[in-house]
Amino acid sequence: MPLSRFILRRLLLMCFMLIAVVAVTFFLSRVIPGDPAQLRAGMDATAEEVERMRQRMGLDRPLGEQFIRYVADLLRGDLGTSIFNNLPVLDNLRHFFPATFELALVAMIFAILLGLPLGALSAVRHGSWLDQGLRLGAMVGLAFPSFVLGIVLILIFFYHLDWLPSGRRLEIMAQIRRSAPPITRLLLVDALLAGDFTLFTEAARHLILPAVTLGLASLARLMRFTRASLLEELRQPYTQTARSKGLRPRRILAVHLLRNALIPTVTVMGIAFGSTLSGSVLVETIFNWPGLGQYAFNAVFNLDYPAIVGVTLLTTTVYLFVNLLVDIAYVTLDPRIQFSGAAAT
Amino acid sequence: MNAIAPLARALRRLNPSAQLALLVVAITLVVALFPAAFATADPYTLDLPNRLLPPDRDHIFGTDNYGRDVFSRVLHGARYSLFTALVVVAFGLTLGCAVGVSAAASGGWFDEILMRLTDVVLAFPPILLAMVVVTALKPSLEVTMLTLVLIGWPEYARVMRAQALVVLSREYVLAARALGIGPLALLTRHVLPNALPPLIVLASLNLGIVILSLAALGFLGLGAGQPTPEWGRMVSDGRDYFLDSWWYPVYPGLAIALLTLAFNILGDTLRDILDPTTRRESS
Repeated sequence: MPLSRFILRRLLLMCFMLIAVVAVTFFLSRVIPGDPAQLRAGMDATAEEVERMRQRMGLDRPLGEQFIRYVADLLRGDLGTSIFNNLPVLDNLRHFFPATFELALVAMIFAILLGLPLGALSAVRHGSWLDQGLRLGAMVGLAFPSFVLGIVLILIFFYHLDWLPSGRRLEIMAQIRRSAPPITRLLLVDALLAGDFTLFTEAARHLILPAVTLGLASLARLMRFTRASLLEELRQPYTQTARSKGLRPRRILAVHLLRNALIPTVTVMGIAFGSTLSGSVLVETIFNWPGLGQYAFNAVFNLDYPAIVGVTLLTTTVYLFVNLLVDIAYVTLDPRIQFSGAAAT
Repeated sequence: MNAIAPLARALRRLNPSAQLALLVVAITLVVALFPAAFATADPYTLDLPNRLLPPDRDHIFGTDNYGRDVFSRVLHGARYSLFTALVVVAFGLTLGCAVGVSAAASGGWFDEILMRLTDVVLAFPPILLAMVVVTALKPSLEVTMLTLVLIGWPEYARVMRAQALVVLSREYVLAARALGIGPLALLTRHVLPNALPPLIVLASLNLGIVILSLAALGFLGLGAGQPTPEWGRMVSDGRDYFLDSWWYPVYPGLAIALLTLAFNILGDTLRDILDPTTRRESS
């Protein structure tokens, strides 16, 4: 099967998944306790006003019709109105997404830049004290809840040592509004575009603690996976051949092994990105980071259902899309994998 | 005496980190069963004059914003982490096995529907799906547990289905069928014993994940309600005071990390022992 057919098939599958995901959130929104019409009309509304609101929201219609209307609204980008701040959920998402995207991206870069080399080091020094230490570190990193890690990092690096700010993106946003135009609304990029390097370093300093907190679990996962797949390659006969040809170990590693070992690691990056995105719910609240996570946290606190569904739909879509990209990268990188085989899973 | 000797030998053969992990789980189990025997104070008694005291001899983990003893609360909280996680994993495993076996045995459209259902559940980022479901059903510890079961079963179902398909196509199963073995006996004598090792490994690795998820949902305010000393909830309550009273969120947080770490190490060890395909990989 050619690559284009494979991509087409995966896109269709993704559409099916999205419809199913929407169906799940629709179904859940109908079991939610409390009357949505009452919530929208306000607690002191008369029975008549609530009834009018119910008609306006279409809640008196048959369930099938309601679902079709729900999907149609979604396709038009209408995700409903946030109960908390009475603004369209889509506007809220647009407002909060850049902060989360920037944070998740930096966290992933941190995880990849450290995770791959450390995992490789661990595999090459297989069995040594260094390997043992790195493996234990990865285990602890996987087990440590991000919301506890964040608190500990703030205590050490902000409160006691006073080396780094404790997140607080708003401080930077105020500065950037004065000196740089908000083009991408990613603060690092906007600062660079404005050529303001002091602002760039300041934005980067604010990012360090939240990004490390958010990225640590992914770092640990990438380390473990890189180590395992590199060890697997080290056992392959071709490694023996390369060694007996007299190639230096470093060259074997760089030329032959890393490429093969990194292919399966690509799939883990997709999973890691997904957990980074949803992990931002926990991390952003601690670091006062005004992104989707903090928005979702407040939404849960206020039982703001449209807002929660909005965040979930957006994140799930991004998550599915990243997985599609990962699958495509996987079959392109590794000629051994059949398109059909990858599509079946 | 004779029964204990081989067990002790097996324990000695484990590597030190697995022994330590087993010790942590054993201690947590005892504490979860009899918290009052080890607690130095009542976990619910308010003592406002002594609020937010740093750790000292009377309160080795300090006190919280109501003057309650953090150490005793962490001990009493063990059951909300350990037992709930065990229940969640047990129910998820049972449900997943039932779905997996029936999918494999029936095949056709029924199989297809069940497997696509697992796809849909697995398509969501887990914490977010849990947030959506728990909020829709009204937050409480029971709802949180139910939600984690609903999110957890697809993984087991897939493994169970794959294992069942392999076993059902074996010749000895064909022979057993020809000899007139009933479906129940087929299931208990052939399918389950074969599928069990990978499922046990998966379940033990998931215990750590469930403990983390329970704590995370508790932290978000979606688990047990106020006076309950649930660890995630305690971290969340302590967040408002942590700059001056670090002990309040940090000790329950360390408890979550330690128990999760112990289960992760045990899961890895079990995988090395039970799963021959990846054996020695992490050693």
